Amino acid sequence: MAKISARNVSLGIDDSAAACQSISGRSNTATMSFSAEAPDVSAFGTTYRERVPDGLKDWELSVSGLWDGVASQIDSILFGILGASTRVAYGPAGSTSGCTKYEASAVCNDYSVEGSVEGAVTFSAIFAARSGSMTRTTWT
Amino acid sequence: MGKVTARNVKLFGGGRNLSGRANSSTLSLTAEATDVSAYGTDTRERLQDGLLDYELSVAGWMDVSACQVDELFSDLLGASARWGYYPAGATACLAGKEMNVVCGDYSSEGAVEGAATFSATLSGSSALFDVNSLGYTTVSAIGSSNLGSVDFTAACAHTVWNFFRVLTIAGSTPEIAACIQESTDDATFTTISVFTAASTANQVFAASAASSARYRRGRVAIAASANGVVSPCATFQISSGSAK
Repeated sequence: MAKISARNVSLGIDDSAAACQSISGRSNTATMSFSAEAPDVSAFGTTYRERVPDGLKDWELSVSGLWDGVASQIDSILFGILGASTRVAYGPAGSTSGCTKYEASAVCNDYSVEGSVEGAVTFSAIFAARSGSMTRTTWT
Repeated sequence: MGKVTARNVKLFGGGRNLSGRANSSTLSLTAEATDVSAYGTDTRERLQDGLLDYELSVAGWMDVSACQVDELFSDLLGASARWGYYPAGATACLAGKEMNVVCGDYSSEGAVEGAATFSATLSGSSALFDVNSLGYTTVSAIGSSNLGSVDFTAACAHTVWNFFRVLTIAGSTPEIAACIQESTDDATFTTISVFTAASTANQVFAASAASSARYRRGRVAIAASANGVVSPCATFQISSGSAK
């Protein structure tokens, strides 16, 4: 696959009414971080560190962009789901048919609104794994 | 709504407008999501509906004049106060947050080549209120006036919180009073909250009320408190919303 422009990233989250809302048009940065525990089991006499595979997995989705206080827009959506169960859908290459789609149950546990006098009002939010696995499929 | 410039952020510390001295602000909301992963799970699991928290960080230019930044934060350190944060400004309809905060950190900084600056961190001490401004304006005539109505869309019965902030008041012994009214048709309004008349500036009042109508507006009145009133003038801000 050719190198991918990030300008088409697709981001969807369920609002407090469980309706999927696209926030791509307000976002300009997204980072999906995956991690897996790999307990260190090195013992005396080993030359290199040894680790055990198949540990607990985790993920975190960080999103930031341009804030909007109008009804049903970014502030209303994120404030409404703070601490609550939601679903996130993330498409690094966009949401056209066949593009990779990550989707999972999540908790929004961090939401910030920031303003510096010379810039635009911005937001950032962090979604953490809530229940079940992250699925990796394709957009249809 | 278009993208929002941050140059119009309105920050109200108690009944004071700090926007003219601040140039950077961040409201950070967090929710506990306790890890409940157990043996046999593949991916971490977390609980929803955890404890909510928030923190407001403010920075800007120092002012040691009476009623300004230094006096405000010196008085607030360790104490609780009601603050308002309106990222797009505080004119009617614009969204904001009202909050009770404790100032846990206040710093004054000065380097020889620069201006004296301040920074402060305020932590939430009770619920955060998601509000819309009903108006931020100045009145300068004896009598009553209605602000424009705001459509809150949701028409179900619920508890709303109303806030009335008296920022300045000038003239000879004036009083400014306000109430919040609601309407189902944006034509006939009934009063749901009445605030006590204020005769001094830098005050903020809050009141809860039951509401079931989708339109709300503020109504303000300037009156003479004692010996008549000369050249009355008051700047105030009113907002309404609900707790998270």
